[in-house]
Amino acid sequence: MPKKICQIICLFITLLLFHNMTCFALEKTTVSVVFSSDMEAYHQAWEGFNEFFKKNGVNLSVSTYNLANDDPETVILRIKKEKPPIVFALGTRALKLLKMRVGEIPIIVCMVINQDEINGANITGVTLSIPTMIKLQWINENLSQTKRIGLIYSIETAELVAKISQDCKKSGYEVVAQKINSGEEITWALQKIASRIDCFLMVPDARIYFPKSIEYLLMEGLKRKFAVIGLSSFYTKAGAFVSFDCDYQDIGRQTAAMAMKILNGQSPTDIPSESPRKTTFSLNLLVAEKIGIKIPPVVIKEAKEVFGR
Amino acid sequence: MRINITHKIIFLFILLISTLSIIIGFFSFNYGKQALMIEFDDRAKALVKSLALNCEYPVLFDNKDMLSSIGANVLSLKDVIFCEIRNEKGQVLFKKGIKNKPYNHEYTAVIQTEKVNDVEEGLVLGNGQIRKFEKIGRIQLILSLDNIRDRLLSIQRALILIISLGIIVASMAITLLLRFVLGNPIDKLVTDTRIVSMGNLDYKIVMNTKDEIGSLAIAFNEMLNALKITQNKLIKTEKMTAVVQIVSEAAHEIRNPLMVISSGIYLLKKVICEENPIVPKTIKQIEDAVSRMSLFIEDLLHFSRPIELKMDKVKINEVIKVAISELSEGLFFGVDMKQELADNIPEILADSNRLKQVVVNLVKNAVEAMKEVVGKKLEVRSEKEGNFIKISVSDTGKGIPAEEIASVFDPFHTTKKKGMGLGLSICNRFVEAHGGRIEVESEVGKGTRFVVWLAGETIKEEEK
Ligand SMILES: Nc1ncnc2c1ncn2[C@@H]1O[C@H](COP(=O)(O)OP(=O)(O)OP(=O)(O)O)[C@@H](O)[C@H]1O
Ligand SMILES: [Mg+2]
Repeated sequence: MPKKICQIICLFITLLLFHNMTCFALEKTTVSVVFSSDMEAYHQAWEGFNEFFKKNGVNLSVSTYNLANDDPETVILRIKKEKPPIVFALGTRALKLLKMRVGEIPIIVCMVINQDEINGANITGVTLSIPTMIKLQWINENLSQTKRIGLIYSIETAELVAKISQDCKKSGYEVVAQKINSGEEITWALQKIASRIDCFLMVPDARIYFPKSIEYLLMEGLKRKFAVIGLSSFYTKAGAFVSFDCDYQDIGRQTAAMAMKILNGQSPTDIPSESPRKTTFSLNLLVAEKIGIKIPPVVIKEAKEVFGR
Repeated sequence: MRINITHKIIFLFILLISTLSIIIGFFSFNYGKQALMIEFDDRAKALVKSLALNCEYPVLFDNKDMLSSIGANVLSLKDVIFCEIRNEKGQVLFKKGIKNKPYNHEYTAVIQTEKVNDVEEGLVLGNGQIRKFEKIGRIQLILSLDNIRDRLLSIQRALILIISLGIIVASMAITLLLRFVLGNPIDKLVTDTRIVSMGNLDYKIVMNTKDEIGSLAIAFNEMLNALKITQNKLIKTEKMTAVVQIVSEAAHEIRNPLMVISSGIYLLKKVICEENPIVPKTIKQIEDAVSRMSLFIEDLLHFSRPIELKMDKVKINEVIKVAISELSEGLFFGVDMKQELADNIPEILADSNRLKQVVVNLVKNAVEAMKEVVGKKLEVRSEKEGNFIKISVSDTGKGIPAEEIASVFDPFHTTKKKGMGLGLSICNRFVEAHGGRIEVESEVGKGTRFVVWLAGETIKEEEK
């Protein structure tokens, strides 16, 4: 009997010791963070990033920079001086600044739309772009009458649109794409394709889309009764039928996991960039009603945000 | 034309009121004008700005239909006479209206649109605070000032009307007020003064106002009184001067015969025997009369100079008695003569000869006044009244008419054929030289009383 108690006590002590050892393993890791601006989404991602490390028992020592306030050159100089094991870039601006300027220091990035920006030996991260297939799948499930998908793009997004077109064709959809030079041309471009499309897919092209042209597009969608698929829940709120969103905090966590790998000694080159792993969607019921689409309650329940109820 | 003081004051008041109203009118007009212009300007600016916002969409997408409907709408608004919308390349998208009216204001605004910032994820994440505006066109409005001018003109007209009316009413009120308060009394003062200046010194100005003009009237009346007194004195002095002239000449002529008479008497006294007692008595009387006469002549000669009194202790009753006794008894024929001389009369310091002369003159006048009267009564009294000694001579003669009474003491005032009119004048001088005065009371048909007042007290004090 006492032998057994002794054994239990011994086990308990070893457990305690082991626990203490993990505590000792909590060493400080320095990370430099560069925000592109003060946008709320960046902060959400940063929260997720932090959360991941805390959960995994890593104590982060952070030096934060924000390009909204800090001078880019000083940011570079300070990072070079600090020489952190990893630099975390939030947004395109931060990435563009850091790229090629911080030498060998690995850059981990998120909240960037264009996957092509994430190129270079020491760079990897998570993009903002939701895979076209996810969107097409949703369309297939919920907009069964859809046969032709409309696209308007400029030179900026030509490559992206080519990929999307391929995906669409793979899924059996016909693509009606129109290339224009500026947002002002959206009027005639829409006139041209409106009658031939069932659904319009927006692409993140700053050359075409700005408040007035978006307004025109959404209005036109209501008039001509085609479903506009927006770029984020803002568009749904403004009058798009449906938009797909990612969970920014989860993107943070996703990026953190990649960062962890790099900190543990993996080379960024070996880690390919990823798309957001968690996507949600938002619906505008008012628009749905206007353009004559019936949405089953199950789908409504599924939506993260519902407008025009 | 004569401008009187009331007119001047009225003119000044009207000038003041007019200037004030014009200044106030000018300033309020300018203030109103400014307020109107500011309002106009604000409205126009707000209009052009909201128009620029409305034009964002049609200019951006080159929607000419929408632009022309917007333009037509704007042109239908009040004051808007011209509207032009251009895009950024300078192409005219809309143009309508008349540009070259004389009074107008031009307002322009930039048409712009919001563009997404260069950061692409902004499209997905929402723009955040970073906004970027791009100029896409320009709108030009021309607003006519005609309406404002019309309004200003009507305001101006109303102001002028109100101001003129105000000036007229105020002027009328002031004119009436001043005419009543100032004009009438002044006019009256002027006419009254004119009456006085025509020689009527007895005129009295009657003024009911108690202000400065009233005081002026009172002062004027006082001045008139003083003037009258001075004038009377002046007349007296003038008369006096004439008297002195005549009298001194006459006296000079009389003095020589008197010398002859007095030396004659001196001889007669020596030569005439004293058989008949009446003779020396008569001679004595003549001698006294002559000496009195020469004294009198001396006085006359010194008429212009102040009288030199030979002061001595005098018993007034004695003086009266001697005076009466020196008058010829024939004078008192048919006259009931009465003397009531008081015992308590003190001796005074006086010139007995002069006082005697006074009594003689008064008694003579009294008797002469009773010449044609039945029941001639003469009374000579002496009495003490307070500190004064009073000598009165009363008669029952014809009396002195009221209008003459003031001038009986004037030299050469006489009603008698053979009179010189000097008696009372000399009496007055003598009495006044003694520090006394003579009073007259008289009633026509009943009689006259002359009273000589002499100071008794002063002499007593001198005695001490
Ligand atoms: N007792 C009196 N009763 C009435 N009238 C008198 C009396 N005494 C004077 N008068 C009037 O006053 C006038 C002036 O008198 P006053 O003695 O000065 O002059 P006169 O007697 O006329 O002349 P004279 O120089 O000879 O005395 C007289 O002429 C007379 O009319
Ligand atoms: Mg006489």
